[in-house]
Amino acid sequence: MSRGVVALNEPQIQRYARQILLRGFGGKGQHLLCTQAVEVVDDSPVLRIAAAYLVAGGTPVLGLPVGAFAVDSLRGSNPDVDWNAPVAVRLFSNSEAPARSELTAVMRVNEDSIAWSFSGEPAPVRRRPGTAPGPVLIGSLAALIVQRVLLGELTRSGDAVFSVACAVSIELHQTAAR
Amino acid sequence: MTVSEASMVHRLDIVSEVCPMTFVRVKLLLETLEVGDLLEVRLKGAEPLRNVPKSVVEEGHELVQLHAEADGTSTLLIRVAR
Repeated sequence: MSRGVVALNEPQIQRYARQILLRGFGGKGQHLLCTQAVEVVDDSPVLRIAAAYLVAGGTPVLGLPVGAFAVDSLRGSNPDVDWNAPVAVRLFSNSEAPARSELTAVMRVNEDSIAWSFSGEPAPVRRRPGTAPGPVLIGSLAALIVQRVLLGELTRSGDAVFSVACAVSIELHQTAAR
Repeated sequence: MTVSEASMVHRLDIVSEVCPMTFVRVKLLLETLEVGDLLEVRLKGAEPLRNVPKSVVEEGHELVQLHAEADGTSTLLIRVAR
């Protein structure tokens, strides 16, 4: 008896090869990423970065405003994406927490924090002292967390809040006189 | 790629593949097999010989045998463990 045939086609295997190699992904995990959508309720740099990473990984991201960088370029960036997949995760930044209804999770992503809930509204974030790490780091981190939610790995561990702060210091040392 | 499902010993030929597609093929097939099944993998080249057995073990499977063939290929025998 087989444990199930991997439902990826050859172009998908080629496109997502390095992601398939990751622990916890595999063919079945990649299929889960390709067959569940993420809906973005707000528009922010952090959410756009997260959307770009998710689409590159095979997950459709819906709800980004028409005319923004996102819709046209994201749709063109990965022709493999199934834009009709059902929404499993809803992302927001500033608005009221969107209704959870049939969703797997809702996640609030701000410049310095990520909070998610499988049961209701994500818990409030206590801001950490320090410099916000910026949209690229937080957005890509949010995308990684969304992927783990879609893979079903975080559901059992419950709701969580993740706040990030970092400080960058750049020093110029003169090593030789002109 | 050839896969024989005539018995519980499955076969996969990745001689023509290059890394990382070598282990991608192995991983995708291992996912579909039952715990205890055997998978015989034929591969060629130093890099796949270094990477594939290591990745198989890291994924939690058992490397039963590694045999170098006269034609420069190698054959791995893997027992599915999870």
